Amino acid sequence: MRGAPGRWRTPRGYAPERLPWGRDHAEWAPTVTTPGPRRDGLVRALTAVREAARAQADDVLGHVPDTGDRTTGRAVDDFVEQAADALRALDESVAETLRALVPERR
Amino acid sequence: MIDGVTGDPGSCSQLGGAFRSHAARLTVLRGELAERTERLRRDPAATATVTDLDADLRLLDTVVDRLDASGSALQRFAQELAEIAEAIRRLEGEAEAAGLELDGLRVVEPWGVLTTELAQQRHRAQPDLQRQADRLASQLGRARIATTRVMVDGTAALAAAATTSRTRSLR
Repeated sequence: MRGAPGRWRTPRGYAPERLPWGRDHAEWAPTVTTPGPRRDGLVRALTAVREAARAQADDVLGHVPDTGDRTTGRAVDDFVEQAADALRALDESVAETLRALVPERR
Repeated sequence: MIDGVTGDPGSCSQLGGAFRSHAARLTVLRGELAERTERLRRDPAATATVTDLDADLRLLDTVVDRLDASGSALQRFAQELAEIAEAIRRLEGEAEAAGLELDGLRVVEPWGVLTTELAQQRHRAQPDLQRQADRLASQLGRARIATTRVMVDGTAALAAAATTSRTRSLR
């Protein structure tokens, strides 16, 4: 059954109040890329991941462990560098997600 | 304690603690992101966003797992280094009492003129002290191998995850 003309419906014909989106959904925010509480909550969660990843990448590079032998020391150093790089990759990946979510941030 | 054999257990423990605390922080953030992703999964209009979020979560999972595993390995390693360093200190005392000294994990005779009695005392004590030193060397070797393995595996896994993530971004 169709609703009143002009009232927003999902592509499948559901009224917003029928959607199980919980408290963060607003009628005037039909998708997650539309500004609204749902997008804002996701943006906050993603921003927190970016900030943590960046801070952690810097922090791990600041450590100078002394393992007492060259082989173990090199393995630890390689891991530290790779961990910092993976954290930077995480920052970049989340930044991409955020750009798609909030195009005005470009 | 810093010496040529056991390194600095404190610095290894500190790095291990940092890895684990970073992993714990990311786990909390992952939980919130996963919850929001699950809610979006039911929304057909959010398919592209969910795909992006799933990729972020996969990378997060690998980073968390490897930071935590390496942190644990480094903390165990630091504990073993500290125990071995303590055992070496005790062995040094025993060697000194027998007129010998430790060079790394080798029990050696110091330079100098000695009496026949002291020479005999050293020769009697040296094999047993060297056996103790060899046991410590083996223990140290095993700890190093175990730690190196976790680090090498973690490095490879993180490199693969970072490459996959960046390749995806280029598409």
